[in-house]
Amino acid sequence: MGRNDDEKIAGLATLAKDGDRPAFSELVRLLMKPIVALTYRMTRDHDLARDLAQETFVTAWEKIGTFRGDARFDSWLYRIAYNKTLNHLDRVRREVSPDTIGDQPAVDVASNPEANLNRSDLQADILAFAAKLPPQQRVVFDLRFYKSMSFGEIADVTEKAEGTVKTHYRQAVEKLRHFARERGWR
Amino acid sequence: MNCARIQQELMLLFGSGDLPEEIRLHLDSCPECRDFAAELEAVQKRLGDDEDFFPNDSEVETLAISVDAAIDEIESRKVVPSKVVPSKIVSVAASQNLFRTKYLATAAAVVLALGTYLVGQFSIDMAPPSAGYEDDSYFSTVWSETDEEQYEPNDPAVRMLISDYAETARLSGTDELLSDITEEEYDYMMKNFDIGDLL
Repeated sequence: MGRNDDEKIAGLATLAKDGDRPAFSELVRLLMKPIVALTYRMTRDHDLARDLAQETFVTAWEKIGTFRGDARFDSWLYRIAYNKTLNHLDRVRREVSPDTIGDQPAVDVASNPEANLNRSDLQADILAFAAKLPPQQRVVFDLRFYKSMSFGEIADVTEKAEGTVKTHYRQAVEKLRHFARERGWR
Repeated sequence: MNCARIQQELMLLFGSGDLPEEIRLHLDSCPECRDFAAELEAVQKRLGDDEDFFPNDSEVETLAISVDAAIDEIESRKVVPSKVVPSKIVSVAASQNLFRTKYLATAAAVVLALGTYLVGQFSIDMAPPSAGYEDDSYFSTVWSETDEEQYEPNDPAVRMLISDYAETARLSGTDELLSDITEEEYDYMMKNFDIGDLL
């Protein structure tokens, strides 16, 4: 997202915070794509990702009064999306297998082949890689690699220490290296 | 920095673009770390970018319309219809007529309980002793006839139901009665009815 977009988003967020519905609607249209991309890579489920993205915006409107004007609106939105998705994954994991709560991904790609229909091989590969990461590492990797956020911003979104975030990222990149070797990406 | 440290840094810098001077100098002189960096670069290129996962424009519009509709619904719940008495107003009205409304609710509960009892008694009186039953033991377990109290409800479940309803009506009947009526209806009722009328 470019500098102009950032300024536009900041301006719209200020208006939305004051209850401006059209401004918020424009924010929804501007930020729906990156939010869906985030929830999709976290869940690897097409429909669920879209549901969670929509819920993210509804919650954002309900909580807009708590948004600090000096913070980045998209980071604040990512935090809502992240928490919502993580809560969902935790709930699913508990429902599926109460004895295996841990860092295992909630959904196995192999058990959910529909999620990958109509996706390129590359996307399927990336989703398969995401499946190997626990949700915490997955979102850190996502926010850093795809959203170009700083470790400080990611720490803010995930409410983790910056050192923890860096560790998650390093671990994710290390797993990615091994995954790439297995797949013969080089 | 040693190689292990350089490789840790390279992993942290993965996807972020330019490498710091210190690392670039190390890569120039270290084949192992240079290979490591090249491997990461190849993986990075393979990963593509965020836009590969974006929904298309028409899908975004559909999703945004759904969000707008959900927010409209939330906002509409915040708007109080003019005809319905808001709960705050009801509370004020109720507190202003506290004694009267509490009495009204209790009276309504008594009327209902009494009605239930009388209807039950009427049904017993009208029913032939063994109508529809092999014997009348069913009735004898529900209603008892004693010298002191005729047709006293004897079944614990029936007694509990009547008792619960009367208690609920006494404790929360005021709110329940007032929550569904308009301000005009409330005023009209207060001006034109007395407890005696209801009883």
